[in-house]
Amino acid sequence: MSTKVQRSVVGIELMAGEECDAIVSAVLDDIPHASVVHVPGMVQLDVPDRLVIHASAVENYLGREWDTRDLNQVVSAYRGYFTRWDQEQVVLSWDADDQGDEPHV
Amino acid sequence: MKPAEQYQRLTHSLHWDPTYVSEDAYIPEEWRTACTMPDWKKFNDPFQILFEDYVRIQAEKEDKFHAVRDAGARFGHIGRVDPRWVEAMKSFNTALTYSEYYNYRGHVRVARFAPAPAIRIASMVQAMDERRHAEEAIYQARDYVKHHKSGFLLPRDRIAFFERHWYFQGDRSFFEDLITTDPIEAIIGTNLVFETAFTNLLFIAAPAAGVANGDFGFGQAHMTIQSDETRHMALGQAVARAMLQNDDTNLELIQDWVDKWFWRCHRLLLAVVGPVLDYFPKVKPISYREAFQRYVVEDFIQGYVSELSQFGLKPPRHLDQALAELEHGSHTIWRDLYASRNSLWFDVHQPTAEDIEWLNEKYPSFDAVHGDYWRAVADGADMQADSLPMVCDICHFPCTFPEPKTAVALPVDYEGDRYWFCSEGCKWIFEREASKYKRTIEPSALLLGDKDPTWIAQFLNISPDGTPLGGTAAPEGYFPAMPVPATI
Repeated sequence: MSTKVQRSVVGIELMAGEECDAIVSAVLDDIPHASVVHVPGMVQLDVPDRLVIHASAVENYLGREWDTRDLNQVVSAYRGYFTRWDQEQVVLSWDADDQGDEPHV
Repeated sequence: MKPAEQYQRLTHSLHWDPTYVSEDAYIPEEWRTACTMPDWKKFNDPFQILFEDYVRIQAEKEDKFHAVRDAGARFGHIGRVDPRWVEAMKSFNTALTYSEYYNYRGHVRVARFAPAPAIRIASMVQAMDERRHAEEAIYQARDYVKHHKSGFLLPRDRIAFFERHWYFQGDRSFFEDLITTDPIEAIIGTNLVFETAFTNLLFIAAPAAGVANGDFGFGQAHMTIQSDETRHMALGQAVARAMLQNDDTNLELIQDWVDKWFWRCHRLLLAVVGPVLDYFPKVKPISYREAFQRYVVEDFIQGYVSELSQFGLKPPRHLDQALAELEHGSHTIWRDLYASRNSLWFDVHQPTAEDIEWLNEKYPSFDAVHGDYWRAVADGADMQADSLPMVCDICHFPCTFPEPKTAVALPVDYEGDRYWFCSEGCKWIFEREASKYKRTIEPSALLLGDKDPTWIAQFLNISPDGTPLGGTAAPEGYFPAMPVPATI
């Protein structure tokens, strides 16, 4: 629970489709109790405190290479700060200094 | 070269301090920000987008949008969009096309006059985004004109509505205000308040309703528009944070701008997006109040604003008043539209039994306050307004809130003129910057007195039966002779 905000939930709203499914599956592996809500054309993914998207996990689900910069194609809304966005990880957190996870194996 | 190094070259290495001209010639005082930073060059945009990535990503977004449009035309989806939703689009597209274009103009200016190199590059990119959004809206209008039997019009044929009909003056005045501000105010107003808190209502809640009613092109257009907004939001959050963190003299200004734009956004979205979620669509996936709760209250207030409270930022000054208006706002504006239905180019329908049931479920006091009005309409009452509504001198929407029976109109006297406001929020905005908002030509006020229906039809450029004539002809004598300033 982040003490910096009144309501410590971060999340992204994604355009439904293959990339969205792979991202949601990758996040659910790490955070099985994440909230996934389907609305027309979109998926709303909410988790407590912080969310880390590992490019390698998304690639496993997609079965192809995936450039994290392409996340911008499918994310329509978010809550939290993007505190890291590089080739390995995208981190969404209420802690402005959150530098993400140890590398995934 | 690594992306970080490329980004440094694009922003900081391209910056120079002018030596041949004075600061005043370089950035005229009226466009210079009142905020201070120890070193503007140290500010970094969190997205750090490079031009080549930008072009590649945006091109793919456009490809996907046009693929959906093509499919809609090829397989006939566009012609099968629910007619009520198309009426929503007649209203929404009118507001949106010009608003996006205004925002493009605003960001070109920020890209020129913002003090930090990173803000200038981000704003230049944002200006291109806004321009793309305007063009997507025009493509959508074109698709309806071509493939839907609903009498849709291209923007050029309905500009008189945007420029003159009371319903669109709120939108127009909002953007005219937004693009004539201090450059950092433009970022706080647009990127932090409008885009972080409110555009999700426009570009996520509204497309969900569009998709639910068969409009896939609208869904695709707006989800890709909102994906650009993620970049804009990140810039707004970073600018607010940097201003508050680096110099505590900025707090008062940032707070004022958050307060002002929160209220202006609240009023605009309630009046323009409220009907798009609560009234126009046959299938309604989310109510305006629910969407407001999710995006504005939970994300913006309980998220970003509470996170920035460590630097002294407080929730917007008129938040409680905004929350109190949600129960009646969209119903009130729909009644105003219904009373003006003969001077609008879209259909304002009488809610059906199913609509009323849904409204009662989502808004518990609907029946007590608005039930009798619609029962009277059902019994044959005409409910045509015999004059144009009295509008607020800030937001330019009618002084009709929170609901017609308890409508507020607050007077302020300034330089010998009396001004009227629909709310404490609008009154506060006027008093803070009265010289900016003192009266100019304002259609509704001019029309209130002695104008007959023929004159009004001429003014809106519609035939007496309400059909738009296209173009921008105005009645004889409408535009007073004004001296042209020598500097333009």
